[in-house]
Amino acid sequence: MKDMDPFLELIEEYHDQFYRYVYRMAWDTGKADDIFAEAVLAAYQNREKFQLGTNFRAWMFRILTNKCFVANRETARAFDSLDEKDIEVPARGGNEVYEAAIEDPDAFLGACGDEVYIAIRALSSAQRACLLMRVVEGFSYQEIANVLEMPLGTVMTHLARGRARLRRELAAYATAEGIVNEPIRLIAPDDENKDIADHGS
Amino acid sequence: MDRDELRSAYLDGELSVAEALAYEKSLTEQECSGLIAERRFEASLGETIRSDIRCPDPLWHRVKARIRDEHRVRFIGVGWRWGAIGAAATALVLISIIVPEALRGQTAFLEPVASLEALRQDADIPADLNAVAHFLASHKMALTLRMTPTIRETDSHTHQVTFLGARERKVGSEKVVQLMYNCCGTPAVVLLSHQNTEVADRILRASREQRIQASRRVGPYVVGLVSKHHAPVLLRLVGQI
Repeated sequence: MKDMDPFLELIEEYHDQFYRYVYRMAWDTGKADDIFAEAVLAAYQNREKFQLGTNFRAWMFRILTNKCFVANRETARAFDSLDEKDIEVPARGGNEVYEAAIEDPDAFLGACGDEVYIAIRALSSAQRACLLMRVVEGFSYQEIANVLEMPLGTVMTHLARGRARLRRELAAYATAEGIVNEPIRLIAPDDENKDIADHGS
Repeated sequence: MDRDELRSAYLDGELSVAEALAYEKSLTEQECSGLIAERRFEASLGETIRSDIRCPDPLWHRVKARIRDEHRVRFIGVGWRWGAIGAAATALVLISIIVPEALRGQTAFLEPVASLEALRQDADIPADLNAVAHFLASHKMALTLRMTPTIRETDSHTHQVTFLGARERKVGSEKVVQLMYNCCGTPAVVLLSHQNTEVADRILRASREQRIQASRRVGPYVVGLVSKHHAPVLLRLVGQI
């Protein structure tokens, strides 16, 4: 790749990561291809704005995320507060079933198949972005906060809610499919409301 | 930070040591094993997602091709821009050299000569009345030149005048005849031109704008005085035949 300029080489090094993130955010191959191409071109056109020695991945993920949200017709304002979906979801629920199911994580993932992705897809965009960046790409909370331009507390909340929702979805699936037999523990509405806290301010 | 956020932050190693210890102390044995299971599960989930999809090669090649095109266009753009800047700079230099030079060539005859020595050396025709008469005739100028060592400007001042010779200079496509004097130790040049010519117009305009000492019409001719010394009376030395 001697014929490439250094910036393009940098993109090439991480392009699979970038595409993977866009694909899991857009959840549509055609849309993901367009977003990815548009984001990479935008990054290339604005490469003078990238400061050498700073976090290239974080810089790129910010562009990718913005493109994803523009494509999904969601504005950055959506990050500032928890959306309604977050409030509807109990922060805790089905933990015992879930914990039983994930005793053997690889076997559970194998048994779930695409259900894991369906559960991830069911998360809000903010939760999904936070979870993908943390669990898949290994960003720190601060890096995620910088990428998504939101307070650290909001990142924590999105991650906690996203995980809780994922646990709930997978526990329901595990019960429905007979992967585990324990019933899901129901949570009283009062308990649910206790979990809704404002960390964005 | 609520319980789930603590759990989440603990899983991610984002709690401070004190916070993590406090959280660990608060855990039941079941919660503790649940946390361990979740950490293992997330590690497997992360690995599964990381390995299950990669950027399709055709897409990446297309994107790279577009970037290369972009780069080439920008490079050409930059090249073109620099070329344009270079051309503009060259044009500016040429304009700043050639145009003033050309203009200077057309206006230099209106500027005072710096020294008498330069004036003497530049004389094409010696300070000889016959030679000058012949010279003026060759320019189809029916003019006579009065020679005098002194000429009175005003009641209070009399100029000391020495004729130094004559010459012609090109001004654009025209010519101007110059009679050169030493007037009170200062170079002085009397310009002669046919009226209704570009040179005549320039002389008259320069006089109006006081860029030269004086001008006057002598029959079908225009005469002007260029000198740092104020001696408009010198123009009286030129008369129509």
